[in-house]
Amino acid sequence: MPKFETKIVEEIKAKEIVEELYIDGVGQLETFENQLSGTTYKSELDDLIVFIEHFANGGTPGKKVKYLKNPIAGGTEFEFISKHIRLYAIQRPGKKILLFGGTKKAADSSDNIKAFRLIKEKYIDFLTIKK
Amino acid sequence: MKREKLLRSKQYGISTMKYNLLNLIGDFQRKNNLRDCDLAEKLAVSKSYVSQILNGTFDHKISKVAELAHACNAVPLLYFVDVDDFVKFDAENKIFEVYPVSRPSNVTFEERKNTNNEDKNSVVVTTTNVLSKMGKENDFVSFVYGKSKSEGNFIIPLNS
Repeated sequence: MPKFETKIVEEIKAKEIVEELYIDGVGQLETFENQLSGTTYKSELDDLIVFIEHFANGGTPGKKVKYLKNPIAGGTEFEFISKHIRLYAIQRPGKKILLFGGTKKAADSSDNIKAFRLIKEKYIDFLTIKK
Repeated sequence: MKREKLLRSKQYGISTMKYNLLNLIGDFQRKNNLRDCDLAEKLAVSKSYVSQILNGTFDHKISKVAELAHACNAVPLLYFVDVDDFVKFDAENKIFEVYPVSRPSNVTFEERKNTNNEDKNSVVVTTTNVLSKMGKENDFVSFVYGKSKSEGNFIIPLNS
């Protein structure tokens, strides 16, 4: 089983803690950021990061956050939305954890949610076994 | 370093202003219990324009921002903070917020005539009445930001 841990997202300073999931030492947000480097979507990711900070400070969500319907066990599921990219997070006690990033195209075909929930399920299993 | 890079990026300024406006309009909608179409009517814009605002995909002209703020019974104030100071205070977990302070009076700006020459003692006061929340609640300090050719950027606490 892979090793899971969470670390505070360095870019975000807010009233509520926002972390990113690391799988075997690899940050999920960092991985997504690397995938976007050199593309025009990098500034969109920065915009979403600023939005997540705004949201974690209690700011108005507008239509930039979707609460996913029928979440699997392990906490509320969020989809943060920009024009071309999506970030997926879960709510844990006192914090939000970013688990996965994907493109709009993959979101439309629900591939993102499948991948996100697979990660979430494994992470929650890991936490359960750890206990 | 990642945080500092973000704060220094052009995108940070754009996004921050955008989400401050989203807060204003979102709060206005919630407090007045308005549907999107009612909000569009109140703001005198189209429904698709309201969607753009709530989706955060807009990039308004200053005049439009002022119009939207006016419709929400708010005055848009635009302040500028030196980016190095902003990064420095952010690293100390201090944020910038605007609160009313007594209007400064009997201030002389005669130094301004020197701003375009090489007078090393010239001083330009760029922003006043910006308050920084200094950790504890209700513990605010007012600053004057400026540039001095001899000293560089400076911050003078007013009401400490």
